[in-house]
Amino acid sequence: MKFWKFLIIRILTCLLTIWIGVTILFFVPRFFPSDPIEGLVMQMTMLYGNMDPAMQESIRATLQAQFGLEGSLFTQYLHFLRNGLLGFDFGPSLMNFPTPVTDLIAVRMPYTVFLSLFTTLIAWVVGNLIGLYAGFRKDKRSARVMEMVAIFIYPIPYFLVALILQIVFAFLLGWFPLTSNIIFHMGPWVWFTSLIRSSILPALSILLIGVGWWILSMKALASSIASDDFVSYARYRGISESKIAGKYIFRNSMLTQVTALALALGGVFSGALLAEIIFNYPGVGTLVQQAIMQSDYNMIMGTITISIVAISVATLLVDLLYPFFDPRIRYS
Amino acid sequence: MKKKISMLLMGCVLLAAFAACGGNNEPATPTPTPAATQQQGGVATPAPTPTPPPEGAALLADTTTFLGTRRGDTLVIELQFPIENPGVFNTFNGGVALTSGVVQLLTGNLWNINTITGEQFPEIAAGFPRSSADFMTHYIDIRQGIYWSDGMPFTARDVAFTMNMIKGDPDIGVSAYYNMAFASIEAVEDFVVRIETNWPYLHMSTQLGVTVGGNALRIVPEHIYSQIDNVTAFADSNPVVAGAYTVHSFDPLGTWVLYQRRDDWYRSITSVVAGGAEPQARYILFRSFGDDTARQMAMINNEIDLMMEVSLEMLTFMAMNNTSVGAWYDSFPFATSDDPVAKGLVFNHAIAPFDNRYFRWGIALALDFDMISLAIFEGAGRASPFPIFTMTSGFLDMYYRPYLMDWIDNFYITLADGTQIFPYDRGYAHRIANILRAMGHDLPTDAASLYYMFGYGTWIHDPAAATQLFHMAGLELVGNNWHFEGQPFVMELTYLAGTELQTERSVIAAFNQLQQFGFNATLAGKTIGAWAVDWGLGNFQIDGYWPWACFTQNVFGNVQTFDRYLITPVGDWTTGAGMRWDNVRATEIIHELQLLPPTHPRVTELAIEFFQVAVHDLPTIGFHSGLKFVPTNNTFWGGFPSAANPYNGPWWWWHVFDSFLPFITPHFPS
Amino acid sequence: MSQSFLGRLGGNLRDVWKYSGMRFKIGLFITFFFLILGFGVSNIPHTNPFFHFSYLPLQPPSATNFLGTTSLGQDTFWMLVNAVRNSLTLGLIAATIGTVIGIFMGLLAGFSGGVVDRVISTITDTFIVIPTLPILILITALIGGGASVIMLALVLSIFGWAWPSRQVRSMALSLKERDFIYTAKFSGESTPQIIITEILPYAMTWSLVSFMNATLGAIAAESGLAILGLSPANLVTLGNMIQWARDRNAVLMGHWYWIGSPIVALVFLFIGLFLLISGYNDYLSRRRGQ
Repeated sequence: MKFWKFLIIRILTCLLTIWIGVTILFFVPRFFPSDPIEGLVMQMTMLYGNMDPAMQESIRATLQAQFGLEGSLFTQYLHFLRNGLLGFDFGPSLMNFPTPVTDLIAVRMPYTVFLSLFTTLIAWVVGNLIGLYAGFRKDKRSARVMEMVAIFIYPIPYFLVALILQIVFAFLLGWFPLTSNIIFHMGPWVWFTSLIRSSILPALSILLIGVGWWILSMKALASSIASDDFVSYARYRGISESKIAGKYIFRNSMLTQVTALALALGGVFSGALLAEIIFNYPGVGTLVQQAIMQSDYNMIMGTITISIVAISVATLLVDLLYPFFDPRIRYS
Repeated sequence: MKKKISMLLMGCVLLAAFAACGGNNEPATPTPTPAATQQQGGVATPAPTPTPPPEGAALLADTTTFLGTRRGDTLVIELQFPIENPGVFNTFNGGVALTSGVVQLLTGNLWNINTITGEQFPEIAAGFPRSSADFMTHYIDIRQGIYWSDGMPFTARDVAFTMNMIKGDPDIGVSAYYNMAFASIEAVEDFVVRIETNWPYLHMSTQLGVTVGGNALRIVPEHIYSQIDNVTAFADSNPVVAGAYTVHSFDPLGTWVLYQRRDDWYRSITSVVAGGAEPQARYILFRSFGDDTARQMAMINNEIDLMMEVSLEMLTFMAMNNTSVGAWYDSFPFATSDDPVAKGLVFNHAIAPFDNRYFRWGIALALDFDMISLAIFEGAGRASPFPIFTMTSGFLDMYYRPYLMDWIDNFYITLADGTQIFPYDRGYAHRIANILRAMGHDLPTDAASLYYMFGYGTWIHDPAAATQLFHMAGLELVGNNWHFEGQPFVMELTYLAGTELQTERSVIAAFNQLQQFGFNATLAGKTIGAWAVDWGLGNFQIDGYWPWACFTQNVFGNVQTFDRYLITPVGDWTTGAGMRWDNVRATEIIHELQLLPPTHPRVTELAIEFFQVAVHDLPTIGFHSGLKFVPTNNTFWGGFPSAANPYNGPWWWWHVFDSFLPFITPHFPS
Repeated sequence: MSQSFLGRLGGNLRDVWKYSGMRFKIGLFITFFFLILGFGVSNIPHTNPFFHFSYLPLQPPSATNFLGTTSLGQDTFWMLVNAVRNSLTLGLIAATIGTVIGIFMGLLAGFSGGVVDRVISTITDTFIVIPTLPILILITALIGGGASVIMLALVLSIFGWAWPSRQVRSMALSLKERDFIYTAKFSGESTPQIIITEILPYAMTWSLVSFMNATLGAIAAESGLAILGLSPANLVTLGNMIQWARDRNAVLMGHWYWIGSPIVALVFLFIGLFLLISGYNDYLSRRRGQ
């Protein structure tokens, strides 16, 4: 009974969060002095050199009619809530009119998810294991070395790590392609191997940077819990070290780290932006970037709504799963 | 070459590991070859320069690309961005990536332009329009002998169909304009189109043909498009084309498109226009390579033959590591200066004190152009200080040398104290050449070559005169700070971020100079959507945009937006006249040009007068004419347009690229 | 009163120095080095490192130019000093605002429970689920020209508080169930009292790490904007300095002092802060252990 009440309230707050989030997202870009139609007309003028003002006016009027932005802001908002939030239909991409935003995202989403999901999860597992070890056995030399390595790697700007990997492994050694190249027309096996070959360097670069933070945060958590009274008490009682590490320290720090993971997973959709740019990896990140630069409202809403829904659901799940990790937390 | 980079890289890795810094690795100055500059405009004879390809390239030419084509038969061109919506080749669909080969290889326009001479030439049309005396009825002859790639003949009916399709489909951008302008379009014979216009239409070849990069009127096959209900939603993934190439295959993720030469290439627009010449490349691959670093390394690895624009620094690095890499010149200054838009500063004339002529001249004289030039591309580029007009080769031949040179030398501004300042400084080319020689660059010594490379002159750097001019414009110096109307004066400089490197660097360099002069200024980059709105509404002070472009003798197309009747108050939308330059005489000239046939002798007189009015008022300040660093790789292919062989400008992303195709030849044909 | 307070503080500091390990001392040294560089050395009169061609371009390090010059003839050393100052200011302001608000909201939500928790959590969650970068790009596009260090810091802290808040809340939830809290409650301590005496010291360890991370996060967010060309172009920051060097192809051309110095500075700045904080934690736990 209590569980069901908790569940319903939690789901409602989750929906509320999503609603507030997308509402902010809907209005913020529209209150800024930026207009996709003007951007498009300007790009055309640049390509053609110069255009008769009458011709420019004609193009502008057509785009305004097509993009359906001429209704009142509130009508547009209701339209977005109905079609976008409920039906995941965000309308046509303004920069690729009339192709629907959903189509463009659908082509790239699997690749982004493939790259980011795996790297985020691996970084989390590896980072937390090392962090746990470093925090629990903090006086050991190996623990210190690992921590030092993490401290050094974490603050290096991402682009530098990516560039070094690219220069060494793709250019000098030639083990991987310089630029991502996923080959479709030669059968599933070639597709798969080319996907793997194209993904290793970007994945490695994200992993190297990602792991650092997990090590550091887990180490801090673990060592602070390790010095806690109940751990000393457990030691007095003669509980084995491995059991202390697993049962006491691991479980107590997991709460924080699982929450953090849920949030990091949301970054899966836009987080790999730089990796996509540097390695020319096909993904959603570059779509988001181009959409913002060109004020493609529908594309911005499409990509970011998906991201907001994904993070909200992930955090909801974490909240629901809390008690399984730590029975002392009750649903309330 | 890899050894050198691995050395650099060692340093990089060391740096990352904090062991040490990699020493001061000054790049060796590339040894320049004497640049051939004898061609200063004029029609060039197609004589591909035989640069010997490097050893071993012959073996590599026989390898296959990842698409199974022979490398030596595949011309690889860099796509600047991956295509968001792959498989769209219909140019009336908003999702088409126009410059991914679509405008260059598949389609044609009625008239095209030679960007070196500034002359339009008939492409699909067989000549220029034959118009009635009142310019209300026009006949356009269409070339015979062109066939669509499915074997159907290309006729006047296709042209008439395309124009009527635009008229009839309100979803096509220029539809409303076509309905306003054209009463009827009809194929009266197999190869003659008759157009009735609603007003005297004097500029048909510039409005419906290419004057700079392209034109929206691209002819589609009637027998295909007449079957399509919703043209703007039609992708046309396997298009029937009149160009010399058809789509072979494309990446569903948008990183490449492969084009294949038609078996009947001799019946394509490209070949028919070029008098039967054969497009040399069997395959053309447009492919994106990602970030700047990857692009440079791919070029050094000979994976790219023709690249999109890069910066001088990137070109220098690539040329250092691969001797086959060159550009318009094979060594410094590398770039061509014939892009028709000078980059510099544009003022918002609706806001004080930017509306004041003395203020703008003050800015011009406060800037040290030598420093600006060094900051943008290390001194490379042809100075083009004049407002609205750009020092392209064509402009030099048509206007500057015959009509303007003496006038500009004698042009002066009178200061408040009666001093006459002659602001045109002819010494720039020699001065900058000396600086660059001191930096180790080998440059020609004859005046003609230097003028061609670095321009005929700039505005003089005269801080004392500038200070006087600012006082004349109502500014006051209070202590060390400038005040205007009793308030501290802060200038806002803006630019379009991440779109055009030269503009961006020009504004940044000017900002730096104005700060050094003692102004309080701010600097901001804007995204294109935001920037375009601010431009239309007049929400800017000094910006780096280029609202003009000029190749042709008839400057009407390029000055028409400076009509004062287009000007609206700040905050109200204007089409075209974003900088709000309000000049009575300039507007009169525009109106007179509008009513003159394009080739009328009076056109030249009016253009000269417009130039003089503009220089007097200085609505904008030019820095360099458009510089384009377009890297070419000579390993597998030769005959790219260059200073030694300037049959056209290097802008392969424009429609004009199809006329390069017969000249770009494989070193190792199969 | 103030005399004795200062005396006690002095005693404490001596105490910390005496009982802390090498780690703390190295961290303190590095952090002080950067603070002095950013807020002390930067006040020594020097040529404006933003101005082009104050010196010959691409000079090697020398007595005049300690770290050489850029290809625009700017002094790399003084540019670095100014960048360190601006980035530190930016990071510290953003992190302070973010962490303080975050801890406050998190503890409030975690310990109050009920409606307060629900309202705060919903607001927090909303700020967490909105991806930061797109909104940052939009906002920086708006403030554009007039952006100062402080303004940029405020913008960066809009999102900075949400994550700490959520983490602190979940920590508080878990602590709430611990025996010692029950004991405290049982013995009649009020909620604020419990938070201050029992919870805050516990949360402190984590918060300090979070603070350091927020500092670096703010600096990193700024460089992210810089790489997209949207950091205020007239502001010398570590991010902009890296971006300007990158823009001039300094990485491949091997202009190590130019591209390297802001990166090395960034990395060491972080290491210094980290060692300082984790060293201080060690000291605390050692004292607790006594």
